[in-house]
Amino acid sequence: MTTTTVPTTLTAGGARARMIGNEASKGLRLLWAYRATLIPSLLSMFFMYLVFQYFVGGGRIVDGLVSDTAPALFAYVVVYLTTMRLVAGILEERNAGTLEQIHLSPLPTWQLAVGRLAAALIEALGVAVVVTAAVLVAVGVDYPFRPAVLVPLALTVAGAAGFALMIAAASFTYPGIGALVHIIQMAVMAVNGTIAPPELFPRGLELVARLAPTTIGIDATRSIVVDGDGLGDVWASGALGWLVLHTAVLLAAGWGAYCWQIRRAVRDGRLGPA
Amino acid sequence: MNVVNTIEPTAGERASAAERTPLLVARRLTKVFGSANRAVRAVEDVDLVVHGGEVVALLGPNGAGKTTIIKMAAGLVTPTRGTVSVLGHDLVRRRGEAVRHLGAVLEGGRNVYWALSAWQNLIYFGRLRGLRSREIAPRAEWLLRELGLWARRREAVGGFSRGMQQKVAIAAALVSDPAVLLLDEPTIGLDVSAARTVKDWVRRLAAEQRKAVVLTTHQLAVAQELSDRVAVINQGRIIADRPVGDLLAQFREDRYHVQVAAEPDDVPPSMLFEIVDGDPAAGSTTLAVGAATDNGALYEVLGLLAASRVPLVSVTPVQPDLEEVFVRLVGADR
Repeated sequence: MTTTTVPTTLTAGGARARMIGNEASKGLRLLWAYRATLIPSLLSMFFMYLVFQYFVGGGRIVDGLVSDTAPALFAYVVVYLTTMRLVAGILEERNAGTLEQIHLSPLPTWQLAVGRLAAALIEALGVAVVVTAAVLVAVGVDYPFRPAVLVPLALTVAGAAGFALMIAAASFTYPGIGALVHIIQMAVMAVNGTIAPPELFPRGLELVARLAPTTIGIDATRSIVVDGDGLGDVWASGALGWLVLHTAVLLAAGWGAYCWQIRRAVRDGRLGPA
Repeated sequence: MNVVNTIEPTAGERASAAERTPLLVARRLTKVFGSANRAVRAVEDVDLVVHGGEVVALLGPNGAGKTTIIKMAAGLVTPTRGTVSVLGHDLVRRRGEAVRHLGAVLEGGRNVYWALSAWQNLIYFGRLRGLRSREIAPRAEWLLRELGLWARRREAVGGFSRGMQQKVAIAAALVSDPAVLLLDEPTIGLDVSAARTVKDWVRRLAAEQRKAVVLTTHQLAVAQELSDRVAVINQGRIIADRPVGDLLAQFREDRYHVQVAAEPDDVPPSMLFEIVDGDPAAGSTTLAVGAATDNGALYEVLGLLAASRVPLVSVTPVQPDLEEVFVRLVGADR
């Protein structure tokens, strides 16, 4: 008989990090197991973007337009895949009963959520890099690498994570959220600058666009990689300040909504199969 | 001078004291789903105390509240009122400490990841409960070998039979060696062989590892076979919570069935018995005899039969099984 000593405390940061890592690595293993669905989604994003650019360019693909919109494509892929993975994961695990098993862990809800989010973000970032790079290579657009761009990009990704958590939270209450996610994501793509830069939009739509996830971050990113601005310039223009605020609001709202919905699901017995 | 003799408890006494300390205690558990005029009272004032080495079966009709009780005991549904403690740790206030000693296999779901292998599942669930891989590996190997899954440990669980999947779920629940095991319909949908393995395991876990096991089942034969105690639940309330033997004894009838090798017409008429079953083709008849405390009525009937030269086949005391007891309890509660 093999016996195991159950640890008495899990307060050490290392132990918690290990358990979050466990959650993330499980997520990645599951994504790998379902990799057959990944290739078609990669290809469809690549061709869909090029088709949009073809029409917006009046029957040809315009290099300048691509260099203006490719950062938005990157952000769109991140927000789309992170949201889809979180929502699909929750819906599937709820039906499979594994969501209940996960919550039999001594880990608090927020740490389980960090692990789940980390796995979704890793996959989304990987796919976004591949799709965007493929587009840039195919069209022949070259960006100069400026380390400063990592700041708005990181904030954009964090905001996307907050937005994804918000939608994922709704999946505990509305099992039909899957269909709605596609509509929401199409709206995000339409306004975040993937099709055309928001400054080309009518004034009212432009204001709406700037409130949508990733739009402000992409503006800041573009001014660094396309216009050659430094972080100081972006800060002085107010774009970085707005981005920080926007990201903080999205993260707080997403995080709050997710944890609240988990608590409600436990209260109402909705963690498991219906 | 006063001399105080301090008597140290022996190892046996210490073990016995530990045994008396309940591993799972639920007090006044109540769950109301919904609110206001849509409120559904699923569980009401349920008390449940389970000690190490004990198997307790929760029995009840569909919708009685068994699964809700199991999920509240696992911390997966928040009670509207009442408390649950595991090894003395309150499941709400000290959740992390409490769930560490819990393992559960729940009904209606897969419980494990079908896309992962049995080995990956066990490592994942072990880590999820705070163990390191090097601590999990020996126990995971032992569990998989004991359950006959070692040779297929690297295969995705989705390709396994239902019985094997259930074994993986049980192994995953046991990988952190929890003191309390909650099993919701553990043998449902399993073939005879797989169900037997699961039943053997439940028995061993309680008898050898002194785990507290709470299970729900609709298969009353399984409950009768496995459990030390049965809690019958109806409309969210426990209407009986007694050792199986006591429960059966409570409903034992002071009657015997006497089988004779004769047709019903050949049995001498008497006020002391009734014919409950007669098969003229087989020449067999069963008589029900109400037994007085000294079994006088039985002897009288046997004498009557002997005098009439009716061949006797068997005399059996009428013992209701758990199913019959369950039906009577639930019927009486309506």
